[in-house]
Amino acid sequence: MTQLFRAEWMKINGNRFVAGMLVWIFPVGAITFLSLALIPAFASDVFKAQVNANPPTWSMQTLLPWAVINSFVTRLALIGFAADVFAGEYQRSMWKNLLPRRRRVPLILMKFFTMGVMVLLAFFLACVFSGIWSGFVVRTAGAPYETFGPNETFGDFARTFGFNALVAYASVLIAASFAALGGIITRSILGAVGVGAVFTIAEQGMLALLFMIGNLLQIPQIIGLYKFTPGYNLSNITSWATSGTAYSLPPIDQYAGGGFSAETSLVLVLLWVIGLMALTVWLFRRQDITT
Amino acid sequence: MDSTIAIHTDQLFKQFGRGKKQVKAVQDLSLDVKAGQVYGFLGPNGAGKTTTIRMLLDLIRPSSGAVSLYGRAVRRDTDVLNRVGAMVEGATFYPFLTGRQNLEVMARSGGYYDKKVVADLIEQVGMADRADRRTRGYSTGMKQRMGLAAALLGNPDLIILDEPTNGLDPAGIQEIRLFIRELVDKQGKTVFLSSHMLNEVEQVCDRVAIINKGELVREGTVSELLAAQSRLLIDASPLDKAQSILGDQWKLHVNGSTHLVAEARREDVPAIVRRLVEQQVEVYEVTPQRQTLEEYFLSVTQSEA
Repeated sequence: MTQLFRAEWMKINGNRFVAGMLVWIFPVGAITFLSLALIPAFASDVFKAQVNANPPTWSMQTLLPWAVINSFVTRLALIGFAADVFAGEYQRSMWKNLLPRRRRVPLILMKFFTMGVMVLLAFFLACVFSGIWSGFVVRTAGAPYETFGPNETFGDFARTFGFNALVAYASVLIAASFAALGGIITRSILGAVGVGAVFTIAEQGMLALLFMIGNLLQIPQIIGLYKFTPGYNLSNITSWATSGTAYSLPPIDQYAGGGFSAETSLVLVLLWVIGLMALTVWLFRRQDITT
Repeated sequence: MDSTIAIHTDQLFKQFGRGKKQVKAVQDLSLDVKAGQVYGFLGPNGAGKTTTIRMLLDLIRPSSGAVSLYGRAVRRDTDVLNRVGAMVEGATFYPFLTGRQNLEVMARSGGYYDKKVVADLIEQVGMADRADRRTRGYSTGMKQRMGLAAALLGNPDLIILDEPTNGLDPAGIQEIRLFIRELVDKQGKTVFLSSHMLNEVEQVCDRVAIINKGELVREGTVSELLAAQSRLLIDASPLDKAQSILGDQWKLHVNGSTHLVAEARREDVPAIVRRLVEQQVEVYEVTPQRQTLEEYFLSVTQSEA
């Protein structure tokens, strides 16, 4: 399995343009953004005053990149990445070289795993850079750069960090599954991006759609179905972790009895991940490779 | 199942599409390929060669029928594919990786990466000086050579090659032909070779199967197939008398004004000459006309069409 992982890593990372633009851009972006922030830290009195009034801590700045991963734009970037990873094998006619060498299930599961590891590593690096570079910016602005906030311990930080990584990993796997399904069905990178994007946009637009259907049918409670989408549950878990409360969406709170508990959301996210990956594997196992 | 049979297909059938778009790509194909030989698999475009190869490699599912490799059913026991190396429908690679990296990826995918083996294979196929270039810039011939190296990764017993000499120059074709023979004669491997290059097949293959429209048309050794179709060119005078003497036993055609063509074997020459001489016919020359595989292939596939 180690050899298969290394093979997958070589392929994915070897495509420098795709890996660079869609994955490694996050740590590079973190360094670039914070390096640029050194300019106002040197030159702007307003900036200096703002930083000094409320100086961030290392723990805050280190956790910052995790907030990016579950955003809509990041998910689209990850869908593009997953589309290349999965549908690229069809487009480059490479399955015929790989499938006789290894059973289909480990081959496809290793793609999920390697992709997830690479994205997590990229965000981990972004976190490290963000924590260190922010220190330069804050110190340059003349403010103190404490490691932790008041009453915060390393244990609290490690728990939050691990939790965010878990949520991010689930988010990556869900985005990858949508793109993988698209790739297996359409056998093209563009098709995979299209299907993945449609699923993601549909998920985001589902709240408005359910709201309209609820109004039309005079059953506003129907909006509660939104609570079963992966996006909602990922946000809900994050909300429980960061603020200790359920993710608040007014229509959900009003008509669907508020948000789920963190445990329920975790189970639902897990079901989505397992379900989508199982569907991908099932389709792939039955598929004729004709290209 | 005899384990010296490398490939066994039983009533293999594959159909694509439904209704009016239905295409029967392979129909009731039963083959036995013994281990330790070069087996040629011939057919015109669209005859079902690549579809058959894809079923051998479990890339596509047969609609019915079964494939066994070394006595193990491929669909139930896909691990038997560890004994197989293949190049299907032209060599393909990750364009952003070098040739060497591509081989490394394929070897690692199979779990048998060995740096030295990869280097040796690259050397064997004559790509040592170009292996560290990205495959994006490779010519078709370079890709074919590297594809052959990829097929040999993992030291397979059975090597399935689909048009391996496409895009190679004559020297390259000869080199690959010798290489294939060496794989079988010196290393004891089995090669299943699909090709359009009939001259190449004739020179390198021990046995040949011809398929047309998905069906097996002929199967046998090259000499068996051609012997069944051998002819004799007879230069004799008077020609009409010779024709009447021989016509009751052999099928004859008049070729020009001085020759007869008899559908007969080389072994029939003494009897033909004896009969003609006994009947006072002057015999100037009797020449066996060996049909090439190409002529045979065309006659078989066109008559089946």
